[in-house]
Amino acid sequence: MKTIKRFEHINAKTIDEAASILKAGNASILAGGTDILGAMRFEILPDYPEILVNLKSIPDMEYIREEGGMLKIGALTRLEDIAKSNVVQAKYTALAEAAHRTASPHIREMGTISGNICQFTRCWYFRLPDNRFDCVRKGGKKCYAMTGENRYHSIFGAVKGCVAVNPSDTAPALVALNAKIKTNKRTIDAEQFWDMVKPGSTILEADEIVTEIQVPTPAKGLKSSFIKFAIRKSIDFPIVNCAAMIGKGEARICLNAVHNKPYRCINAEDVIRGKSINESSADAAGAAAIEKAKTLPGDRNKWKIQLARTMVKRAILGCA
Amino acid sequence: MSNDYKPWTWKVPEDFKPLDYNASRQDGHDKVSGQAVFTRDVTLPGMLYAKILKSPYASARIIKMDTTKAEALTGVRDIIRFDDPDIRLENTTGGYCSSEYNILTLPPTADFYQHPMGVVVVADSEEICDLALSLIDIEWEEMPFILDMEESLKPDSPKIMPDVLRLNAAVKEPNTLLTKKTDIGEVDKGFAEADRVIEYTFTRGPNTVAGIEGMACVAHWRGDFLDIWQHHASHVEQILSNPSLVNVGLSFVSLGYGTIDADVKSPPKERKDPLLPLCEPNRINVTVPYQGAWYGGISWLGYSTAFIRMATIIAKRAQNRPVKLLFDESHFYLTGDDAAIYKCRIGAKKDGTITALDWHVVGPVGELHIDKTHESTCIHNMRNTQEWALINHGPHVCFRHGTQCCVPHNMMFDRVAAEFGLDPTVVALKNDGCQGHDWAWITKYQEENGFPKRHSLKEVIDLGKEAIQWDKKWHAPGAKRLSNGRMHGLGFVYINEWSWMPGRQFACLILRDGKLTIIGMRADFGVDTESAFRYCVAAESGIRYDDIVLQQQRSDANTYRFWVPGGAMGITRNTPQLIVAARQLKQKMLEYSVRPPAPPMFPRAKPGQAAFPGKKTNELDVKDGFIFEKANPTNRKSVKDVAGSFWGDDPSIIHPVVPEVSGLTLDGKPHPRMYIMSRQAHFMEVEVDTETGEVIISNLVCVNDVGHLFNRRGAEAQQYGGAIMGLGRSATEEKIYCPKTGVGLNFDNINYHIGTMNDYPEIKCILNESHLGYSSYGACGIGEDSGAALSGITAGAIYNATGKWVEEFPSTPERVLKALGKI
Repeated sequence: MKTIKRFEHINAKTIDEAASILKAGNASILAGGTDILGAMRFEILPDYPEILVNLKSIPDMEYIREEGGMLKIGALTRLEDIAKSNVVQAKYTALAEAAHRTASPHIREMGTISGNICQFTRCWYFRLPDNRFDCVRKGGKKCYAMTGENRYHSIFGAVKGCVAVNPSDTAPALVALNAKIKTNKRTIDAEQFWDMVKPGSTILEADEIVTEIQVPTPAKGLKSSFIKFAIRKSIDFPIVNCAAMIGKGEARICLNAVHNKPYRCINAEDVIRGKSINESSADAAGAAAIEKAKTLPGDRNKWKIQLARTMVKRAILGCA
Repeated sequence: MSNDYKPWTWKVPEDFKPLDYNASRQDGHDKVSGQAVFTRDVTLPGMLYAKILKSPYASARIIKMDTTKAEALTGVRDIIRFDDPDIRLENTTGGYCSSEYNILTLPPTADFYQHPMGVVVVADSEEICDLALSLIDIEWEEMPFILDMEESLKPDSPKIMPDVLRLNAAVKEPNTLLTKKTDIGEVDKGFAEADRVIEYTFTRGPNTVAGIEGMACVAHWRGDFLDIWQHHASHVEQILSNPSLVNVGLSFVSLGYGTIDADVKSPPKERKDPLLPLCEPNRINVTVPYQGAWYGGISWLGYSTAFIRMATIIAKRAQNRPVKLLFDESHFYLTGDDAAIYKCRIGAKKDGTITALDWHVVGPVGELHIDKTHESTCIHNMRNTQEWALINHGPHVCFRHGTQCCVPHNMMFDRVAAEFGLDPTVVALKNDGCQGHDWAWITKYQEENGFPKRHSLKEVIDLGKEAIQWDKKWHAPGAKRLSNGRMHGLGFVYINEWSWMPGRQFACLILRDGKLTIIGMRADFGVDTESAFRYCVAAESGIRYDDIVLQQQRSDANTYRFWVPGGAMGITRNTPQLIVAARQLKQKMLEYSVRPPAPPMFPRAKPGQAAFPGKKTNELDVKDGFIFEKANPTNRKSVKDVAGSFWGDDPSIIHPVVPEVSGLTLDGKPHPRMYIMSRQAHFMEVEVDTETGEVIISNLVCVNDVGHLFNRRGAEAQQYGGAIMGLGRSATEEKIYCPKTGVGLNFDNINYHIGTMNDYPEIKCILNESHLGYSSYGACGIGEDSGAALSGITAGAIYNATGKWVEEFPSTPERVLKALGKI
């Protein structure tokens, strides 16, 4: 295997210290490391950080607690801890299930919630070693997937010319649960957190660090669920996933891996809101969710539209 | 006839039971403790590292290469370009890919994405190698590439891979490697006799090996002596020392099959500049450390023959410093030889009798696609036509091999069963036989040649059907929806075994101090054939199992070696010689027991006495490390005490050469043919989600007739591993290329969906012992069939569940949805 380029490893003691290092440039965050180290080893990007700022050396970044009517999760909380948390399983079911369905046990033991929502896209053109394709997401002029092999790509069109999808499992759960992402600079609605920002996936500034995830405690009668379709259940990234929170006249449904960022299914929400959940109403909502879906040139991703419809339907049924 | 060599008639030693699950494993501590050293782990003092450029293009040529900046980098010791005189001859030969062409050693042209080519950098560390490679300025000329074999077959296609040596003299320009037609019986007549002719086409996408250990070779010259740590155990001494055997290509030699002339009907042109010997054979010391994930064996590592020669040349230039040559891409550059289009016609009667088949295959592989069907059925009339052209997929090689035979074989039974509303197990049994003979004929052959009268396919089908409750669960296609909304289906495949012949190997037994050492170089890649070797020698010699070890990783003498590939061929090829040797050793121990040892070295010492004075050898026996009197077992002495006193003058080295099988008859007349009579059957239960196309495998039963069972633990591991490999190939594994650039997009273990144990249910492994193999006690192999036969099992199961055929493998959810008309 190719050797990883040398970098300086700094154990930050505080968020402020980490942010100041990031602000100086040529540095990147190291949390669980499951994404950044692979990206560096395979040299998928044109430029590489010379410094990795380790956040794990900052105290009190790993926690799960209910406080002030919300669930607070420290940014460095490992996915496996979230998946196994009794309180998350009981009240924030979609998030527990999403964390549980992420990757494999080994990766969940290392990967953090903040890393999972900040990871790079898995587009294979973007990810190919040695920066093989200088695609639009890296500052190039072309999206190779648009006219190339795009069976796993966006069914809701391109964003800034890129048809890659967001691969996070926890992201749609956070959107469905109406969560907020707290950083060292601000608190952002989860729904506004992601965008196509070269080469990353979030609106975070260079020296901005996620510190906490805040999920409002669902009102009594609200239920949430998460469902994922992947080729191999044991480890794979989603082909399509979906989270829903429904009840008491409220409905929030979010697909992911279908668009550049988590895709809130407003149409489906309108269809199911206030209705009793059954096969028929869920199916109608699933159909509504894909009303704006379209295939890419070559129609290779057509199957994902069928999957998206089914995932929405099943996520809704999971809230019954 | 008494001298006839028939290992299947050998009497199984008394109390011979298959090796227990908790028996010691020689490799156990190394692997469990993490101390096992694999070839890539080998580190020597002063060692240099070497890495090869990998092509970023599917098809391109190096126009200019400037290595100045790389040469100036501190720590870079050598750079070998494609045009270096030391590599010139190597570059026209390369290493094994198939019987039709080779992959070149270090060419200036890239023939596929990640092709190892162009230049090698030698440096003080891997890191410097990587950095130096990135500093080499290369001007490329991109050339046309072709990913579709039907396109490549066209006479007006652009010529691709122009520098590759075509080994078949009958090649057609620009890209066709092979066209052939084979008829067995009277095919047209067979179709005329059919009640119905069924036609269908299916395709198999490109897949790749499960090897996770990237290719590596360490070479170290000590004057005229060469030490090699290699990645597999082909006949490396031949490759390095005897260029006359590698005059045209390394293909057959790399497989250990013999010379290049074997089986080549149209001999290729002779080389003008034959390869040079690199070292004298008796000065080469070979070490084969542990090998990782070797599924499919030497065939996919065939290129490493060229790789080893290159490492040797690099090390020579390194002037006495050892060099580790590394290729970083472990296996994705290789493509399975089952990637093809199969156009099939089957003639069949209403009762399932197949009267004729005609398969046209557009795809690789020199072997016949009808091989397994001919070997394991009574079908008389078969035709196989084939066209094979080069494409820029990376070399098509044989790994988890036989899929190109097994899948069309089983698709045929499924299709015939579907056509006439029959159970596929019934159709399979209806056509069971060997080389056109029905089972009644085979039964007569069995009687006459010392085999038990057994019907292996019937046995394994009965066992499997009972285990999965087939008769209770079988239903018409698309007829059973489960309460969870999914469709229920059953699938069945079968095949005969590959490894059924005894071999002629060159292992050696040494008894010293009551402990027995088996010497024979081979690669340990985790299938635990070693325990079976130790066990059969223990059973036959009377030495305790735990007092026997296998010395296999190093060969200074280059003489003692086992047959290399896996567990299957390991058992069948190697145990006959080991058993003969163990028997000879036992006889020798008995002879020691009844005669006095040699006169002592010192004249004043008291002469020794026989351990069992006055006894004859036939009055004694050996068991559990003791020699004892049969009539009075309490009169016993340890092997250590008896044999030890003879060590000085007779160290009991046994290495018999065993003959070929002989003495076969039929109707009392000499009959030279052997028939593969053992069968393996696999059964699957699935649930198909018709909204997502997902196929959930809920139950899997593997029944393998191993002839005779030596090592249950090892055999079950092969069933398990084979099944997972087969299922992955059937359902999920596919190399995906960019249609616009030819670049491989999923050449990593995240995006290439190889099957894992966590994706499939617990497998019920059943082993049957029919004693119908030709090897020791009637043993045959187990290794290949699961991986190959299961590579198509999802098709029949999905059909049974949905009533629709998925005609492309792997049968991904996308393809299931298409078959269902959902997209």
